[in-house]
Amino acid sequence: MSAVSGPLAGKPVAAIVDDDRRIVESLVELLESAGYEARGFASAAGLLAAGLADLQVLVTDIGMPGLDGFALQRRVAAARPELPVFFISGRDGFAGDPRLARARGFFRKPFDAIALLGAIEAAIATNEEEDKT
Amino acid sequence: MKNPQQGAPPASGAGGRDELALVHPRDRQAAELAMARAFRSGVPQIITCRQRQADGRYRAAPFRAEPAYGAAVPVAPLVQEPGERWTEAAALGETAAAVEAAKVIEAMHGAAFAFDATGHFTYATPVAQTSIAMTLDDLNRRLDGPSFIEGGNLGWKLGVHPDDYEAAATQLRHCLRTGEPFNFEYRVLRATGAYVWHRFTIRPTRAADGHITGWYGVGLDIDVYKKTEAALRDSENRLRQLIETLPAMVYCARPDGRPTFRSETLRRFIGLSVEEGEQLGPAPLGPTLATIIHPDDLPEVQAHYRRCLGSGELYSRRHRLRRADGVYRWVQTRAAAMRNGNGDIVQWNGICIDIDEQVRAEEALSTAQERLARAGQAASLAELSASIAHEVNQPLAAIVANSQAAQRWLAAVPPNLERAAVVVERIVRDANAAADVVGHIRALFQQGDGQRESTPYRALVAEARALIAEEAARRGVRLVLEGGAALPPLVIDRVQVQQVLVNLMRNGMEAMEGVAGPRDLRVRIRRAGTTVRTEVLDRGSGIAAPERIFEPFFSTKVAGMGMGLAICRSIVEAHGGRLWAEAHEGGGARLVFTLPILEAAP
Repeated sequence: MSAVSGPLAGKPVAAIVDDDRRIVESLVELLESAGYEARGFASAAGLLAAGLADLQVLVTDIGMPGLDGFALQRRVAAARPELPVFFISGRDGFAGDPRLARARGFFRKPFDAIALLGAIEAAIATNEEEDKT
Repeated sequence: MKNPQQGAPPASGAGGRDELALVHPRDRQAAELAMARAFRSGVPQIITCRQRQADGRYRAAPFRAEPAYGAAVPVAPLVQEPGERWTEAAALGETAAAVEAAKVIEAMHGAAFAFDATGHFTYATPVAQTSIAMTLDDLNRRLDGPSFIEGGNLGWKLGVHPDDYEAAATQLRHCLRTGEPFNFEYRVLRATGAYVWHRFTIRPTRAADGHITGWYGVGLDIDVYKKTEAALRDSENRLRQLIETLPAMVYCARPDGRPTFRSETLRRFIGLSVEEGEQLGPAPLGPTLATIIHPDDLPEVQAHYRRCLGSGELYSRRHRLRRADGVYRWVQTRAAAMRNGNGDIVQWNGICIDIDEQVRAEEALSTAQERLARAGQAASLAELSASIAHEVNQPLAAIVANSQAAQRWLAAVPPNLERAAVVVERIVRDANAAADVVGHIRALFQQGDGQRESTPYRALVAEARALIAEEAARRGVRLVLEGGAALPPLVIDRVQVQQVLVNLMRNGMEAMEGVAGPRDLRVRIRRAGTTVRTEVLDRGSGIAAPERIFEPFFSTKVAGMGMGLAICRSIVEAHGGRLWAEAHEGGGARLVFTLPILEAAP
């Protein structure tokens, strides 16, 4: 697992934001099983309060009460422009939404968990390559 | 001045009550009549009658009756030159018979005259003379050229309205030549200065050999009739103009419905006069109606019209009427019976107003509303199916991710069985949740199946409350049901509406979770116009964005069921009601929905 050999000591850190507890639980489980340190949040505000500093990847739902996924992405881009963000959503209406392009990827629920893991892994690897140059 | 008959002045005094006392009792009636005529005509009247003299004896003398209001009406004085003949020419010649006839008429009417075969006056009663302020000589005075019969004019021309004179003179000359009786109406210049309509009736007298010896006649005041006639004509014209300029087409019909009148506007519209319609056929409800009423409307129009003709009730109907150019236009027709004093129908009067544009506008509006309603239903359906998809996709996404995680824990070396077991447990939980959602929806729509029946609404609400009473007790929520005692039953799908009630009450209870203070959930029912309004009020944290909570993914609850409100709204809208949310003054949320009160289906 290349992520383990990242610039930060220990496991790569991933944050998951979704107002559905079941999604947070399952993604935390998935990422932990893949060797990440996974942090789950029920809202964007929860994540922002905890801080973005040591994150290597963010997976966030779009439709949420309070700050939605798009708003969260803007905040994150301002503080950590290089942090890869993935949107997940169960709603059809976002297909073709230009705001999706601001993220590294978009996965519609229910999504292929292996594909999501692969995309996360690739994004972290790309970031590390850029850091080296 | 001298009176050739009596040798006394013609006007011995104003004929009033005092003078009347001097009149011989047997002549008194004639004197009173003269006074009445003076009063009516406004000109002095002079008759000859017996009057008591200073010596106590009665003698024939002129009695002059003055109009009582004479002061208000200036009367040109009758100027009688010295030596002028008074009423009768010196020599009557052949006109003696005509003069005798004139005197008979004088006894009846006061005014009368006689002239000879050439139109030369030989007699004119005092009344005739005073009323026009012309003496016998004035009448006969030659104004110009040849004799009257040859086209010349006599003094009486000055006493005739200039507009009427030529026709009257021409006709009189014609009568003088042919012996035809003269019947003519023209305006006479009264002594008062006013022109007054008179009808002149003049007849010839003949000798034994048949030749005309003279003419006698009378001019009767017909001013009142003429004026009445003119006023009637005016009034009729005004009414006709009114009918023709009304923004409506007017018609009249006999009690059996047969048309008798159509206003010009109606005649032009349908291109048929009453007479032209008659030629189509005699029956009042037959060919004309069939020609001008749209075939689709005809049976109802005929039946309705026939019913009204029978009962006398007001006829009012909207139908299409064929215009002369063949285009059918929507009209509103109303007809009412006109009755006589006995209450019998003597005529039907109707109006017909072109309302084509309004009807077309209404049609366009209702088409637009239908389209809107269909679009609304489609939107609701799309919203609902998106909600269902979301509700199912959430647990599915979790299941897929958990399955992958479980696989990894099991494939690890050594396998992490502990975590795998936890994950599998969650998979089972989420799969059951997804199955529940599907089952829940299936039950909802299968049971519903559009079966609507008249349902006592308060009982239904009480039932819904009973369904979740146990859950409420567990959550420490007090359920309060207010109002709804006197509501009419609603025609609804009871299963679906109960689902809405349960859903809203459960939402409210969930909103109060973790809230300090009394947990009251109120359900208020009341009538609001033609709907029943149901409010579910909780004392939770309220709704930050009331208009957004119906969006399929706007779920504020960790457990989901954002779908619930979308389904509730679908159900309520399918019943013709509305569902919305608002914040309420006491804190917390107020979910409101309405259901229309419908007539129960037969």
